[in-house]
Amino acid sequence: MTDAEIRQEYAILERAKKNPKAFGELYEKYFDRIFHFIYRQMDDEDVTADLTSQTFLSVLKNLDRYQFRGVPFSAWLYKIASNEVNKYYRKRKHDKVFSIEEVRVRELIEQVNEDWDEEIVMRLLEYLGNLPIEMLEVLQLRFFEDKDFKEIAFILDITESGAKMRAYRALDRLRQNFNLRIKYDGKE
Amino acid sequence: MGRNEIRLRRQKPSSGNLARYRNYAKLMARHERNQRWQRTLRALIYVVIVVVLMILMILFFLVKNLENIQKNKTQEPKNAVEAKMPDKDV
Repeated sequence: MTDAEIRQEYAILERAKKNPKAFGELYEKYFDRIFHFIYRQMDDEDVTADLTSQTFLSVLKNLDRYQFRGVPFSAWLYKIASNEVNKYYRKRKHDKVFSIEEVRVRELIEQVNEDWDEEIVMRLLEYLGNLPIEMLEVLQLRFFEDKDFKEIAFILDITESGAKMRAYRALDRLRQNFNLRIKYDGKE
Repeated sequence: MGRNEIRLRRQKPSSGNLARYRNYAKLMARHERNQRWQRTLRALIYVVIVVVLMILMILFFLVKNLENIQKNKTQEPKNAVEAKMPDKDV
């Protein structure tokens, strides 16, 4: 995201503080992304729709408190969505679900020059299922939402080095388990 | 069994499908309703606080008043001036 885009969004937010109707532009822009982000952690369309609405309602409610902290507005949106998801699971007290698109998994596997193979996919799913939830959250934001580490740190309320550490550890395990050559930050 | 449940989906929900849920007017209506409800609740809390404070003040003054009355009653005999009856009838 460019500086100009960040400034433009900030201007919309400033307007929305006085008139919430102005927020509609950002709602239209981010609705699908937030819906997919929540849906990946729910796998239920109706619950996802509720939590997405709840996320945007929280944003509207707390708009006055929004301050620019060096990350795009979308990071704040993802943070609120992530809190809504965590609140949902805390209430229901059951294991978190991660539902990922086959297409995206295929893309990731093809990126590391592996042939698409049902067995690899099954092993990958098993591996992801055994990862600590903190690592999965970082991987989801990094590879499915294309967030940088600064944003990930803001969304998950951790330090940037903490976010990197979690991602590197998860990828190290992946390399060991699958004998994959994963390019990461230009290194193999 | 893993700690998290990982599911594989064939595809993402389509934009057309998401359009069913995307409704800013409805969200705004919900937001305004919430705001109204919050304002009412806040006003109610202020009223309750003011009423409680008033009741406490009234009780305080009532108790203070009763104490004064009680004090005056107990002090009365000490301060009372004994009036002597004249010996002769005038």
